Amino acid sequence: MLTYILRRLALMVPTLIGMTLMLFVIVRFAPGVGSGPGGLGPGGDMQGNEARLEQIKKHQQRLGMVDAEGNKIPIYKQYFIWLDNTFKFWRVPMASNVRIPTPIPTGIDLGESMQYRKPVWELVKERVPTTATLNIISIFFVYLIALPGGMLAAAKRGRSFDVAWGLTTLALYSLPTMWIGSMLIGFLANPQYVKLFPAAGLHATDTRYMTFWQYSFDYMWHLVLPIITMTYAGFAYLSKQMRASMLDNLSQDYARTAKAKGLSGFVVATRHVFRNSLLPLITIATGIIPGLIGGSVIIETMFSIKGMGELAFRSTLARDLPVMQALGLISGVLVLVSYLITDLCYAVADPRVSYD
Amino acid sequence: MGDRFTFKDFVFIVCLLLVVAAVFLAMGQFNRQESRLNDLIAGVEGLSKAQQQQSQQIDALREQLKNGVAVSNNNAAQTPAKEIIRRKTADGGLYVYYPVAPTTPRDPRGKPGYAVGDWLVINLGSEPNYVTPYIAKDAYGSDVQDLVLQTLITRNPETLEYEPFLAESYEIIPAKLTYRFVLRENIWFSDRTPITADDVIYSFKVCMMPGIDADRAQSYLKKIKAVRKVDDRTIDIEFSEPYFMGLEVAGAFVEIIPAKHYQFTDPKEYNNWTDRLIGSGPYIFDKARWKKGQQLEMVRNENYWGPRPTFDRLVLRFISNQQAALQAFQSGEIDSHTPTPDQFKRLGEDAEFVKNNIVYKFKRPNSGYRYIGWNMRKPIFADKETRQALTMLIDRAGINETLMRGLVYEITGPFSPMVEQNNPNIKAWPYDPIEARKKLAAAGWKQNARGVLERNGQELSFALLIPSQNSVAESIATYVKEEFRKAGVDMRISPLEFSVLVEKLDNREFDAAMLGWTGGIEGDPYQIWHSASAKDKGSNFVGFINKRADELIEAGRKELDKDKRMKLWHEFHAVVHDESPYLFLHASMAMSFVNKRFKNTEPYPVGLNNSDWYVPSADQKYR
Repeated sequence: MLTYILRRLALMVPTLIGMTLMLFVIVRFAPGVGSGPGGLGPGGDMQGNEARLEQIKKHQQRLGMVDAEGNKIPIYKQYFIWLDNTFKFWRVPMASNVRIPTPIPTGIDLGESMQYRKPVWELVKERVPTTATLNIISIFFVYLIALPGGMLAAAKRGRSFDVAWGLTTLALYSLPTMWIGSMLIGFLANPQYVKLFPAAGLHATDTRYMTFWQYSFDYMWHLVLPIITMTYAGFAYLSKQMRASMLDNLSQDYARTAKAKGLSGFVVATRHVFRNSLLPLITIATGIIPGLIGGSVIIETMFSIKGMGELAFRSTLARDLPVMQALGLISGVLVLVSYLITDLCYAVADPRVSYD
Repeated sequence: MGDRFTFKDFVFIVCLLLVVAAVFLAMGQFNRQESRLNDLIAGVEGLSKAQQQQSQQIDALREQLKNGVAVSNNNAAQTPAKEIIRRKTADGGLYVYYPVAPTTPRDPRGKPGYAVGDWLVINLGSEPNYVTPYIAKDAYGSDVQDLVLQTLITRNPETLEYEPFLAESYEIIPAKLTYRFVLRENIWFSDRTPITADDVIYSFKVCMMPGIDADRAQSYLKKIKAVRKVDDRTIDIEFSEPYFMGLEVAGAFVEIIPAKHYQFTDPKEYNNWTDRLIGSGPYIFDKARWKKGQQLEMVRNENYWGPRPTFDRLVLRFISNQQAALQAFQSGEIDSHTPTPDQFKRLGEDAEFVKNNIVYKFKRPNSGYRYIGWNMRKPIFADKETRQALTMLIDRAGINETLMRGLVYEITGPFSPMVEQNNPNIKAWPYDPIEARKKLAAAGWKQNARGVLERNGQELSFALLIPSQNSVAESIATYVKEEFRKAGVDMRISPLEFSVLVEKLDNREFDAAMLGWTGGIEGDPYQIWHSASAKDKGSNFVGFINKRADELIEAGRKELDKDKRMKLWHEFHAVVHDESPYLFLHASMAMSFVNKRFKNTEPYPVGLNNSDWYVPSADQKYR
């Protein structure tokens, strides 16, 4: 098992290199990268700018596309410089001036954002808690509702509940998030209709005199609409998976034996079949870990919440290359790690699986 | 059975996790309490320090009184009341002296029901990236800076003339190309250190330093030859050549910062400061009150050298979604809102809404304008008859009424009709498709087999670049496309993401583009219209190269006499109108909704000025 883990970890490196290289090249060749800030006013209007050339040169220097004199650096060199800056490879000091680079990283430096002039790591640190909170709560509710729903649908297969549940979750899945978000804000946060929830943000304006409970309640109250918008579409997939997997197991011999023994349907389903049906859900769960910090652009923009999705979106629009690459690296690492964890969980959950 | 992981175990683990989460939350809460205690302690310390200073001052006064004070005779001739002086000097210059710092024409102090207090909550729209002076690149950062930093002179919002603000007087000395400013006495920064000539010199030094990221400002400031300290309160700013915006550049461009808080060794260090903002203005910026992603709170500067600022706090929220912002306004979460044209049409004319809120719609001289620019390097747009004809094919008044719902107004050139630079005698090209077709025919265009106009083997077919996700631009472009099609002009609409659009303009890789420029009271046409700006990715991306226009621009920039200068601008306007390098679409009106509890909110010509607003005691919401 240990050798398996080590082998997997070692295999992650070329995958990561390939991934970051592809991202690097695609991003550098995208149009609009070299132009830099266009001197935008608040309405997107422009202001006449005499110093454009100088501005562009500085901008490209900051992104690592040209060197100090203004000559373009070839793309492969840019990539190596980026790798070196990010992982700070250990250089072996041979003679006074000669230092041989080795592929041994000594640290991680995710770089500095071009728009915000702050280290990317700080930006990430600021935003991950918000996104993680939203995602964790949303996942909790999705599982809470989808799993029992799927189980019930499997137990009453073909009957009215199964059909109704399938239809409802599919209908919810089909509704576009942007529209639902706008509707929720427009109807439930609008003094002209029903003002139940706040329209934007995560906190009220005046939180000076709030006690701990008031503050937490205010925070939760602000979270309701975004969570609803994030959650409603997730029921369909999960509950269908659960239903399919349960049906598979309900027709197995051991389930029929248990039923024959005299156990009620409920006990059979929850105590015996449920565990075995969880195996496919483990695969789905791997999507959660990178998704935790992925964030949803639509919801964050609509509710004016500063999260990771909004950061990724804004950086892409502004062609903020260091941030885009750092986010790509982070999500790549998380995806690969979560795949590894999934496989290990399989080994634990299913005695038929062994990696030795 | 005992070894199995049952539901009870699952519940147990969940409860355990909840307990751990609760512990962390409690830690967070203790942290919050600790920082509030620290704030309290700092506040109390500040109060006791102020008290100490006050008792020191009282002691000093008592000493003076003990030594006897001479009472002046009641001779009015000895100390005449200080008056404002604005006079022309011998060599054609101007001397302006204001004994007391000017207040706005509608200063609220003294108005009925005036009361200090309450908060003003406004929506900034987007969070500024950084607020450090001089290097802030976005308009949101400068909104914050305007509350904290001040300049030597300011523009009177009604007369639009420059009045000395931090300076008590300014003098224009044309013979020496110099502007002389004398600082007021008894003005200080928010930490009570007095503002001296050294701070002014330092502010200019920083703003003009190569290496500091202030490219746009520096392109104007490079015309300054020297900044000299004459004495502790007097500064001379000498230009290398006469420039009509000299007074504005010398006195209103560079905000005055306290030298002692902005020391650095390397300009890169300065460029990396994101939140160092200290000044002499009515509000204080405190890093701790910037709740990232939510709002930025500005607190009243209790040490402000001028009249006490009205609001206890100014809260700037960052709500980017327009619909959410409107609803936040309607539910009272924010106190003012700039509506989109749709929102204004829906609510601004609804009797119920107007009764319960304050609604404004007005024309502003600095509103900027929207246009379609033709790339004059392309042969199809090379001659002015074609360009004029294209303008005449479009019913601009119709667009303004229907598509823009009457919330924009007509322009004939690159200036707002409300400013003096605009030539009032120029009439816009009329909407006359028949005449336009004749013009096109006269220019050599004939309809080919496809129904498209053709000349010298080239079709009048091109792509119009518009910024994507901008529904206004799309609707205008769609209308224009249809009108052009009827006349045989084939236009394709090409929506592009803004950064890509900018790149194409920089590299001159476009046929036509629909964009907007921001405006000013009197702008320098050099960046947009001079032939020098047509190269090197300058802002003259349409390639407007006209000898007479160049001459007029250069002469205008050097002309310090306003009447002569305006004549030059008027002729320049006529040249641009004739050459039609742009299809000038319209200028936008300003619209605003304000919460009913505020008084004294009428807009000036240049816009709303919330330093004039106040809330009577009884109506105050936040205490």
